[in-house]
Amino acid sequence: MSDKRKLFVIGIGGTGSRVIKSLSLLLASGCTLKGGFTNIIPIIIDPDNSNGDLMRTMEILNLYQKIRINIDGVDKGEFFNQKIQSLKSNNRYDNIDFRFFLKGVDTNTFENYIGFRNLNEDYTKSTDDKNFIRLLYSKKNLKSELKVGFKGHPNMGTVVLDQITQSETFKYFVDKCDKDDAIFLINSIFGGTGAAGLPLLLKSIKSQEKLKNTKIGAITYLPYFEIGKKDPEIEAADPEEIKSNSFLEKTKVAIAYYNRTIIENKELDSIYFIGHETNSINHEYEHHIGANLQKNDANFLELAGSLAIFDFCESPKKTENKPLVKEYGLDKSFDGEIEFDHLSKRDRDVIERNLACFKVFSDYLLEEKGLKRALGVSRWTLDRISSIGGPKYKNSTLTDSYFEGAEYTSSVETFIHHFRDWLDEMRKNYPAFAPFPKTCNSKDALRVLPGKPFKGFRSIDRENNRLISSRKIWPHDTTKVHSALFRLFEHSIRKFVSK
Amino acid sequence: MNQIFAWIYEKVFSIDSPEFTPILDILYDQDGYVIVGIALIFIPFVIWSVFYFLIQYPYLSNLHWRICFATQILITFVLSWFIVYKFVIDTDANTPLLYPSNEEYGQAIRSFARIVSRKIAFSNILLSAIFGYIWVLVLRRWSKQNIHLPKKYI
Repeated sequence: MSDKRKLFVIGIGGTGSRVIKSLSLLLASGCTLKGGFTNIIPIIIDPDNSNGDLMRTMEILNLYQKIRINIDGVDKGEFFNQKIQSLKSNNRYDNIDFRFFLKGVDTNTFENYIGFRNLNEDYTKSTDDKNFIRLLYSKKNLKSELKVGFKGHPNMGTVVLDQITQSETFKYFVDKCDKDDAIFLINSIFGGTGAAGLPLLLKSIKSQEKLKNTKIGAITYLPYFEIGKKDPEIEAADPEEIKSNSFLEKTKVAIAYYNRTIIENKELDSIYFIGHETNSINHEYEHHIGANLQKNDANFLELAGSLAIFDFCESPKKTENKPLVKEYGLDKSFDGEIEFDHLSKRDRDVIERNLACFKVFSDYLLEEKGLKRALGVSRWTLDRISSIGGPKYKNSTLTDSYFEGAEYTSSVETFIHHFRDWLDEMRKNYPAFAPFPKTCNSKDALRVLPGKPFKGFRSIDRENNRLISSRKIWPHDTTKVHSALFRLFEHSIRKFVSK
Repeated sequence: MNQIFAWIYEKVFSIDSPEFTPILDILYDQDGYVIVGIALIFIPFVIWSVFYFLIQYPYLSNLHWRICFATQILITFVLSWFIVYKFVIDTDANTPLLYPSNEEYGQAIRSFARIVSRKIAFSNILLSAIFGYIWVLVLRRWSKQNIHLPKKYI
């Protein structure tokens, strides 16, 4: 089996975007997929092109690529060690979109899309019939603008998403997917796009001769959040809008359908289910029908969902004739907030150390008493040291000009802001995931690391000073501008993690 | 060594005086010059070793370097004055020399002895600055935390 396998991660709808976001942030922190998967190719399918969640995920993926391409020689387990590629890119960052573009959804209503106006009113005089369509779709469905998605109506989604299989991009995807590669799909069962997309995509993938024996997995989200209620008057006038109280009913129907089709027909190797009792008293999401306002806070379940991908990659291709069905669970019950202790040992091993290291890294770079204190003072931030003689590598490239430059501010700094926001949002959401203290104290900032060393940012600066001219950091390809930064912190922070 | 340091202090810094040669002879005969000279070399070495290798504080600046430089000079000054004072004045063996029967000569020689300790101490300010600077150039090359200090001057 090749040790350079590709993993195609297809996120369908808003939940798909958010899980891909979690996955890319975990990969940035150094989490590594097992099973020889070195290249991850995320593909997002969402008709709502300006969806806030989608845009944010796209930005994170683009930044990931932009940073990774500027790091020289990363090893397994190090920050950004896995390669994220877009479907059409080769081995370099070329800003190609991760989206699977759907045609005819930007300006169309559903009735225009299906050509409803051209159908006949009287079926006796024609082979088509408007009234039959009216049986399947409400007036509201037909007038819906597709650019904001299917608003929880999978019956619309199946029609629009069917174009995927006919598209050039799908053909390209089939072409790129080799026999050792794997496909992982992410959807939510209680919405519109995701619920419709999974069975359709699986059917299309399985119909391709080339992909018949490809390892395929999926994670399906059961309801895990509630949407805030709207003004009763508006709600009365618009009864078909997305409502949380319909989530469970939709889920039951969809699971029954999945059982009859996907699972019964053995269309995949593993399917993961994840959900959480929703609790509108504790937390509910603001109601937005789509577009840039639909930007939901990160939720622990999205992180847990991305852990399913790690499990999927690790598990061997099934030999028995039945899909493996798994359900996510914590090891211990929690009261209030989820911490690392509540996770299973396997999940903890995958994320604890890496997340903690990246948290220290981001805190150091953003906090007042971290980088700002060291810049221009600590030896690792200074150049012109070689003037006393000795090798040139004694000069640091991580000077003021690097940290003030666009390469750093527009990529690394923005990315670590996303990482911080992600952690903050998961802390505030329900269920709250709060494995780290809320505030960062520069004097004991390293206590978040496993082993809880009572050390602060000063220890990092001290270690950076020791390492800056060492052979662990040098030589590196100086055209890759972030190499020194990531190599340096990779070694200095992980030094404090207890083995 | 004794000869070299004797030459430096007596000739270069002109503390020699034909009238009071016995005072300088005491320093020479009892290896006083060597002790002062070793202190002169050793003190900056110890201080700069501490600065460049023992202090692991990663935020030292030029100000800290200057303080260290001033401390080195002060310690050398005080210590060399103290050594010479101990050798020349504060010792019972020199009582006959410092308190001769001729009281007028006695006053002059005691005054000279005090001047010698001060002159050697002041000479050591300059010498310590030079030696300190040499130690800085040598030691900082291997420093991990403070290789960059002092900034601009070197």
